[in-house]
Amino acid sequence: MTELATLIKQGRTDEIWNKYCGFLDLSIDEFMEIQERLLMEQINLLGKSMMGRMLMGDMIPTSIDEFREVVPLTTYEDYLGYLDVQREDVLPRKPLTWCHTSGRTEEYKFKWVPYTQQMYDRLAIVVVGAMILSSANRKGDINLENKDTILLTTAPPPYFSALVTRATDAHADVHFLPPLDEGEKMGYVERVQAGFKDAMIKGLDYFYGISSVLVRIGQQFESGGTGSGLSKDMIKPSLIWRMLKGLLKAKLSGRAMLPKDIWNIKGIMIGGADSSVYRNLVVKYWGRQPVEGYACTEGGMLAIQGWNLKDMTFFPENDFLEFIPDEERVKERENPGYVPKTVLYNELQPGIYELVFTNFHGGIFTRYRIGDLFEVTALKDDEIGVGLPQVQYYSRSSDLINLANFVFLTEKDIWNSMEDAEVEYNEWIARKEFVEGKTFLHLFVEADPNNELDEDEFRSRVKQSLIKINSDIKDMEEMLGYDPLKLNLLNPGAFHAYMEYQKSQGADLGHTKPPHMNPTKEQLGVLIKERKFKSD
Amino acid sequence: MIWNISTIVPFITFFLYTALLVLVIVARPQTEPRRRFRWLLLTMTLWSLGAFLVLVEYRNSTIWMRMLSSSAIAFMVSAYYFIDTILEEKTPLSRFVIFYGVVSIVLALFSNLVIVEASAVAGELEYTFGNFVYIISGPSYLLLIYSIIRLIKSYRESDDSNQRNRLLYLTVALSLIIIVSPINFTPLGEYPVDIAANGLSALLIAYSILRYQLLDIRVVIRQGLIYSIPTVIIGSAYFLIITLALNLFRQYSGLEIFLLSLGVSIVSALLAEPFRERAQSVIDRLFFREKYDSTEMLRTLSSSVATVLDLYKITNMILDKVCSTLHIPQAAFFLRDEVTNRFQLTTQIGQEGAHQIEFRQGHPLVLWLSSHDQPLTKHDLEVLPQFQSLWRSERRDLDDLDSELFIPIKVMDVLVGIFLVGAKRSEQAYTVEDILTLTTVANQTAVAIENARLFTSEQDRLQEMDTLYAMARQLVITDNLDEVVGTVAEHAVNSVQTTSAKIITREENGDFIIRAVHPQSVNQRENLIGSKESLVAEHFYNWILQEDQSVIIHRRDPDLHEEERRALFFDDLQEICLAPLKGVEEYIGLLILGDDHINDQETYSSTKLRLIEVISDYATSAIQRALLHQRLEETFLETIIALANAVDARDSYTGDHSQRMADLSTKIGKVMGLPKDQIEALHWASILHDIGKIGVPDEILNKHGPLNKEEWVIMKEHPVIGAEIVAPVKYLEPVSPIIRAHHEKFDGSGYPYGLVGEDIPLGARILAVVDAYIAIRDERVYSTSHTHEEAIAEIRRSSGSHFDPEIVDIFCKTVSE
Repeated sequence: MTELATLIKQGRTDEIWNKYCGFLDLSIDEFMEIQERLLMEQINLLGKSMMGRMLMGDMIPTSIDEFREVVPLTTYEDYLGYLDVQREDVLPRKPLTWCHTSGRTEEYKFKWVPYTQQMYDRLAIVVVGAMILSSANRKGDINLENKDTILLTTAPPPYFSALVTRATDAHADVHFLPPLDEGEKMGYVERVQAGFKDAMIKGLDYFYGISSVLVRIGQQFESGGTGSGLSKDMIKPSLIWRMLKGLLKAKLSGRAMLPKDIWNIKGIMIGGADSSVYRNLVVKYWGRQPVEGYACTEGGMLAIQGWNLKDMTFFPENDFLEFIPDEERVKERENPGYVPKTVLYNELQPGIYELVFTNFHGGIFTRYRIGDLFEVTALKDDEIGVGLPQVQYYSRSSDLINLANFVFLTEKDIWNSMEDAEVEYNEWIARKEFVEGKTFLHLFVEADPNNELDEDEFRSRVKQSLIKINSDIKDMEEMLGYDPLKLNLLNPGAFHAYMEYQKSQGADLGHTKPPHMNPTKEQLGVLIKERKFKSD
Repeated sequence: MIWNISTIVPFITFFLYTALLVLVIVARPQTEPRRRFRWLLLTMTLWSLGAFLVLVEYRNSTIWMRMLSSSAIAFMVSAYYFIDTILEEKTPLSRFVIFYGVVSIVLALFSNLVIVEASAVAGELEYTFGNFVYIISGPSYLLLIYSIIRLIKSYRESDDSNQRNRLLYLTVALSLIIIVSPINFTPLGEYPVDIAANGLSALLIAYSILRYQLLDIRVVIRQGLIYSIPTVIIGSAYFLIITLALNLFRQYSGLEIFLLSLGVSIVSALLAEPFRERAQSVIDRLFFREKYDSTEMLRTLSSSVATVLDLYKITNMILDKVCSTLHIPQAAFFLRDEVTNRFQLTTQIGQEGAHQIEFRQGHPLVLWLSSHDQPLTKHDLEVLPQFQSLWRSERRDLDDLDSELFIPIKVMDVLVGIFLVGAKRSEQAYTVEDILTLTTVANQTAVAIENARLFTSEQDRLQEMDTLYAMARQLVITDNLDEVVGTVAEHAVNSVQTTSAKIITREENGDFIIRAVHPQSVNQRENLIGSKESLVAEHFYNWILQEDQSVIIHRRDPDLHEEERRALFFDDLQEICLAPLKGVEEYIGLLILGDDHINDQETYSSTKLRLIEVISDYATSAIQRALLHQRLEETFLETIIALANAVDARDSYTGDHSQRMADLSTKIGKVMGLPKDQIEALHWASILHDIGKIGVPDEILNKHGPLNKEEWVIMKEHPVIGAEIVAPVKYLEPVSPIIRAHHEKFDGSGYPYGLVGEDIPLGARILAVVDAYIAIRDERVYSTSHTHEEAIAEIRRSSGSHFDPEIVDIFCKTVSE
């Protein structure tokens, strides 16, 4: 029995809360104390490793200020030649395992990242914390129980999310649906289906992954299916009871049966740019507000929302946090040689910042620019008594579309406008284009087969929706005298064809879909193959 | 109402359950387990009330019997849910049990399916079961058995000693009920056996609450209950005595009864008081053995703390007492070192390997204990977010210490120590009383530390005064600059209790020269002495001198450039204090103290700065005097050398005689392996050996032909005159005896004193040989020059008479080479 299982069994809820969610009670000084101490340990470790010395130079910093003064900001390119070939001898601590995330197709296929035992252990603690927060209704409210079930929707090893799942499995007495060993051998779709089948029988307590999976399942239910492909061998009393209960609830509500009628889910944990876009749909289908977190392969789990499910708070003990203020980014953009200055977590003020982090616990990423932007919304959350800066995910810095310095659009903005436009669509991509000295936002949308709108009408609705979200577009049109939005509908199945093409080319899971924002010309070329635009 | 064993037993059981119910109802906060436990006790209270009413034949016995049987079912159902809650697990049955419970209770209470009729005659119960008794009641027994099995399973899985004990008593209490229940289906059911067993269960549950804090009911209540036992006994005894007395003296009137009662009361009170004390002591030992011992321990310690000033002795005594009283195999005191500010192991039992471990000021443990007054548990280290900042090595250290409790020791709200307590031998968790006792011990230790600190502080002040006094004395007796700066540096380190000291002087050309470094052992600092400071440091020193006051600089000072940091801080110094050495009109240099401690507290407090200023003043005065003296000596030496040159010039025989003697005599000295200072003395003695001839008239000095008796008398005075000329020069102190004796002969026939053999200073014996050799080789007014061989032959001839034979051998060998 794990330590957590014992604590749950013995009802030591205060201790559980303190261990997994206690960081929310820290004062900013206590938070920084943890940051500074663990950074000094990390500097010490880096100083003893070849890569650490390479990054820090010969003189090992003796203070935080010195560290920030001496050590340059890094990107994954600074680690190439070592991490891509998994050189363990140059690292501060021998890694327990390696995992990867997608790299750049044209340069390197994956970004390989080493994980030490301590980093691995921390992953589980953060996930359990997220589970507790996702199901808590007030401070100290522990609804996590031993043998709770979680739907397995994460990518297979060696993807980072698989590492998170394994760490959680080892740390907590929870049951993944389907069981981890079986699920990891299945394809993604097969695994999700198998998980839902199991959930029909055993129940479903928690979900973590991307929200689109939950929404897709909900939509399948809404259109009359169960999304799980029920079969005769599954006919068991618990399933019949669950279905009957679900049918009754749906009938009483006068609508199609939804997942929330079948499962009384305790907590939902989601991440990714679409989290806020799909939040309402998740609630509609699953009956519970999801808790949103921020994680990345290089930095592990970095931030999570509190139990009021509003803004996110950073964890103090996983990475040393620095932030590049927006004005520093502007200076850098204007003068590419300029080295932007950073501020620390206790120096944040409301505004937009780019995240820079340094791994603790023997990790290797040092003053690493992950390329994600956060908006600091408040310096504390009085509603739940959190005295730490509150943030929301803003955008990837490379995904921000800047239209003639008039309009700045994030992936979230475009996604929200598509959702609010009441148009039937499957997928979309957005690009910034220059035509005859003018800047345009060019959307390529694959419409749903149910779509009855023509391209012009479609564009018109999306534009109205976009203006609602960002009125600067209208100002830009008036000032510059042209409509900056272009929209083309793609052939049905264009995205599916893209995926098939990529698979046939041997692309990894991470590269089978084109990015939503600013895809390359090559990626766009594959997507619009054989498509003749009206404007052509 | 009939009072017999059959009615008294259910009444007592009813009383016990009612008391327990009240206890749980008033307990705060009302948690889910307590709420469930309340239901359980309520059912048992009703059950025992039913049993009592049926047995006292109060109106319709059948109704009370039905209440009794339905309460029994309700008890088993509520026991099931209670176990569900305390084990934090729901079984698949949970949702159905409530339906069963409601239905079966209603049927048992309002129908004759379970109890058809019941009656009690003289305390003997007679009843008839209904046809469905087994169907309706049977499942409740199965539920209870199932609950007991779950308790046993959980008991086996639990590693928390308190939890195990709670579960054990609950298991035994519930098992007792289930074991005796079948008796109701036998002829023995007429007697209140099951009621007695239920009463016993109530006692067991009560004991579990009292002993192992089942459901965390407040200690004060359980202590109150236990301490009321002697009162109950005394009250009962008093009641019996009065009753007995009244029965014996029935014929007495009201006044006599009053007097009798008064007499009995006085006698009872006199007898009862010692009994009460004795009974209380017995209860303390039986029920609160550890508390009793702890109280004794605290009493002993508090008297010792007030009288013993030796911190080591008192902390050892505390550890001994604590470990033996509470049966703890390991405990330790980590006390703050006044100088380093680190918490270091002072005394320990069973923690021999902990000597390497220390807690610095920024350590999370120190930070937490500094801001909290309550002890920290081992588990807190795992759970509290503040301890996420522990380094892996620090966590390993704490694991090695394997302490269950970390208790802060504070003096005036400042953390001065940490009391570490290991797990009990019994592996039982520490109770609230244990922690209170240990906290009291920590507070007593704080008093001891403060006493010892005050005592040590006084001792230190005395020591400081002694050191200053010793330094002043030492500075008075020397004018040697090297000795002066060395003494100041050493005493500065000792008095200020810092890591190192350096003295630099500013030369006329503006250079800063290192004159002394203490201690010298680190990084061979002796090589630094005499060297010039870097330009960066000089720039800094000039700024300090302009400031005209002591300045403290931290290594991490953000205004410092890296070059300045390197120039000012050597080794691991973290903080330096630069004190200007200011003379009457000018700055002569700086006293620089360095400290290598990493802590937040200032190393150079205002008190220490005052001390540093006093030392600087002493140092300035002594250095100035030494410098003045050095200059005087240099001047004097120059004068003497001028005189010696003048003598050489008067002597007609050869001008470079003295220099050649110096070369040859130092050569012989080196061959003989003489120390550096003696060789130097030999050099100066050779140069100045004839300086006394300044007092010999020219006509004698340069006389052709032999000297007469009177002339010889004058001539023989020149060694004494020479010795007296150089004597006042401190630097030439060892030279004077050589000059005085350089005309003595080995056999005692020389002058001025006729010294014999080794009574003649070694330098003089060497000088005699060298002087003779050069004289023989040189052409003089009264003799011609001789060859080397002739000179050697002559010297060998005089070996043993004029010269020391050993020196002759060495000399001949050396010059022949």
